[in-house]
Amino acid sequence: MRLSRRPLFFAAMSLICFFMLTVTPAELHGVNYFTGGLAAFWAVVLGIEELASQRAAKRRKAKDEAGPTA
Amino acid sequence: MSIAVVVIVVIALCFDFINGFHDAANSIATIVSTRVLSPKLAVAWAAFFNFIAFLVFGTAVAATIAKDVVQPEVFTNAIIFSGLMGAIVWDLITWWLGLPTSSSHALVGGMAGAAVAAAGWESLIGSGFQKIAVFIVLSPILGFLLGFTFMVITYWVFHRARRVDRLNKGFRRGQLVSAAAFSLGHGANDAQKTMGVILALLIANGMVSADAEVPLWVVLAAHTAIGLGTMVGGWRIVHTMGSKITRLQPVNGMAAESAAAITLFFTSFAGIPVSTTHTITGAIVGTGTTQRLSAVRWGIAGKVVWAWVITIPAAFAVAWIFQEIMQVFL
Repeated sequence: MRLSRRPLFFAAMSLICFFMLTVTPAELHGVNYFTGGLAAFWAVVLGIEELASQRAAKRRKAKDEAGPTA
Repeated sequence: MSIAVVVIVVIALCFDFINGFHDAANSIATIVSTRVLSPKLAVAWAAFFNFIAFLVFGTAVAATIAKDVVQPEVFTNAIIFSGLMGAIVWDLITWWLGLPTSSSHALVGGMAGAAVAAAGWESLIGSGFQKIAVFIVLSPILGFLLGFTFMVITYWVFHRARRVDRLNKGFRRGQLVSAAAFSLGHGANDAQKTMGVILALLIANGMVSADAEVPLWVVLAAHTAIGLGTMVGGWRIVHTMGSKITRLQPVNGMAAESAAAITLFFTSFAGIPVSTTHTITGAIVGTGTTQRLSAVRWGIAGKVVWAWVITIPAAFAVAWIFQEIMQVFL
């Protein structure tokens, strides 16, 4: 099982936001936390959705292959 | 008021007019292409909300431009003129080359370049520059994430709807509100940059004190210039719009404009000058990403990133040259 580019793209975006904490003025750190957190949330949600759909497809395929002999 | 001050104020207002002219497409493209409003009404709608932005937002962005990029005591008429010319010349070069650069970043780079040429690197204020530089990256990311989130929420809420025609009617009405909000944010953030330049000029000439608020006539003049620019620019775009713009769905336009408007409202209140073009580009890319990553034209996104990197140094260099020439003649 492997992830497509979309969840990885959001994960990379999240990392960029958190890395930028070092250069963002302290009074605006909330923006980094918000954007980094939101990007991380979508990376996880999209990752789970993708893994679940891959697993479902695999199960369907296995069922189809077993079907004619059963 | 000396002639030099009047001339620089006029140049600053021209910069603002060009900004409205240049960015009119950002706020009216979606409402015209989805036929929510006629081109005539769409232009008037955007220009009106550009103008009334001064009633809603303060002048924090103007204060950042006037006081947080370059030490206010360094400013002279020549520096402000060179800074403006640096921004205008770089904008024209990139317009010619077709690069999607930001007028706002060009203005910041231009002011910095002229100040460094005249008074050295110590004339720059590191913290102000840092805030602007960080949001060159963060504002499109914020627009992108909000655009993506709004689209997903909209899909979740309405995916069971059967009456698609009725739903689209609702989104078309919603687009009127989102386009108005985006125009309001555009007027607030972009007009304030010109106000900042004029405020710096007035402080440099001892016409207002260093801790003064932006005078009302400056606020009104800047919003009038950007509103007029939108009116004129809108008309130009309307002529080429019919065939060139991809037919968008009202739901995408509404989500992208709402996301960009929220980003601009936040940055305007926080006093952060950001690029309205990059913010709406980020939001449009975000709504497109809900389909699939390849639905986005990454070549255009790449050009935007390239523009981030190059604009401030390039405008800085052009303004530096202008300032050196000014020093020879003055």
